[in-house]
Amino acid sequence: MEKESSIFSKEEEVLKSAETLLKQNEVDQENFLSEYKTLLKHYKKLLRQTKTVTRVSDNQQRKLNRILERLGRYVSFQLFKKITHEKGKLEIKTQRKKLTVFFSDLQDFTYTSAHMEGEALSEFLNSYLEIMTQIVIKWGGTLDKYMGDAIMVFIGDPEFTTDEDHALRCVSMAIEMRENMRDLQKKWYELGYQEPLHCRMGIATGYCTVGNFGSSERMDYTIIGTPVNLASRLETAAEKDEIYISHETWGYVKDKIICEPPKELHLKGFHQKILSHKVISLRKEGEDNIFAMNDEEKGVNVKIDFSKIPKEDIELIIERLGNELKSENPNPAETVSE
Amino acid sequence: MESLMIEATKYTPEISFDCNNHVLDIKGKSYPENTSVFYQPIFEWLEEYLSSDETQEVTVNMELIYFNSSSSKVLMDFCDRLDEAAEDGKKVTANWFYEEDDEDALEFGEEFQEELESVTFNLVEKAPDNE
Repeated sequence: MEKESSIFSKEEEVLKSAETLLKQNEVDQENFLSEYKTLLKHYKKLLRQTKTVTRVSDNQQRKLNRILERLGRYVSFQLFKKITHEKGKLEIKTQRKKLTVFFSDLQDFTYTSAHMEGEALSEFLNSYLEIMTQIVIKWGGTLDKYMGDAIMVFIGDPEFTTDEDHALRCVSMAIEMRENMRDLQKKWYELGYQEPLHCRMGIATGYCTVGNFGSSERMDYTIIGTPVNLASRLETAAEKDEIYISHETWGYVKDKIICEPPKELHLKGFHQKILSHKVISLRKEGEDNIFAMNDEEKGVNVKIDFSKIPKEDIELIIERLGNELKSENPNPAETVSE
Repeated sequence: MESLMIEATKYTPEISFDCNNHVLDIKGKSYPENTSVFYQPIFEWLEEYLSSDETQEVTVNMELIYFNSSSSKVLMDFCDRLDEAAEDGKKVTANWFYEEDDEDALEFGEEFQEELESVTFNLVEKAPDNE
């Protein structure tokens, strides 16, 4: 502040001179008038300069707010905060973090969009992305990018809570997106789109490299790593309105989310088979996916956790039970007639 | 007396004060870390230049894209000093260049135009950059 004040050295000099004059016991009237005129002249000048600087400064502030408002629409809320709050230089630096990554797209959108006019296409796409983005914001996701109809989101950076929380928020976000798709499908159908569009989603959790990637001229705040590829591949493997989550994600959410029994998938770019889980719904409090029968008198004690056992295995059990019954009673019709 | 030439940096404008052709140019951005330190030699040069008895015409071209508040204060002092010189008999013409859509620069120029009594002050809209 002291350094900057030297741009006011002239004004300070005038003030000092006027103060000195006032301290004198006897003041010559001519001298007093001369000092008074100088003071007045500089005061007028200072007032004029202050008015100008204030006006220009207010304008620049308004301009800055406008720019920030616009910028906020192009980057995620979290990244916006990082850009505007981070002091010093925004450097190209990266760090490793465990994140939950989300990918979604619209099945057959390329085909559908080929039959649409440009204006209709942009309106259609924007209305879809608008709704989905609001859901991303609601669950605190970092919207990494849009790629046509595809959306990439990650949770866990810049704001890190816990791995469980990231995974649960991400899956909850996906479920809400899927629910909203149903309304959108209805809306699109009423608007005259014959083929209802369906979304596909993939989620994976794991260590990613997060940060600014690019050159000093142009940077992108994004993530790279195996979970990104995995989430993307899971999304591709998903069918209409399905959400596939990786086994690691499932590990974090299994008590809160109902899933189908896991499946081993062959995914492009992965040598080993990947265990994945298809999300059914959020588990309501007290609700589970377990069938239980316990009647000790009759010797019955059955417990089936549908989130763990594959459907085929249940069918095998039913078949086996059927066979057991048949073998115990090979000709029930005859028994009845007797 | 020698001309004053200071190259532009990321935060300071290019200064080209040519005492042979009597053209003083300030061009670029102005938000120095220490405004008074940057402008002090410029004012010293200006003081010496204006104190000469020559009564030739002086042209001042100011083309600033961005300047901070302390620079605007210094610029106002700079223009006030030019106005004083014009009052004392020097013929001073100041050209204030601004981009078409830069309202701040235009408004700032208008302020100068209004306040300077003896300097011929022109607001010059820059031609769109076609590069």
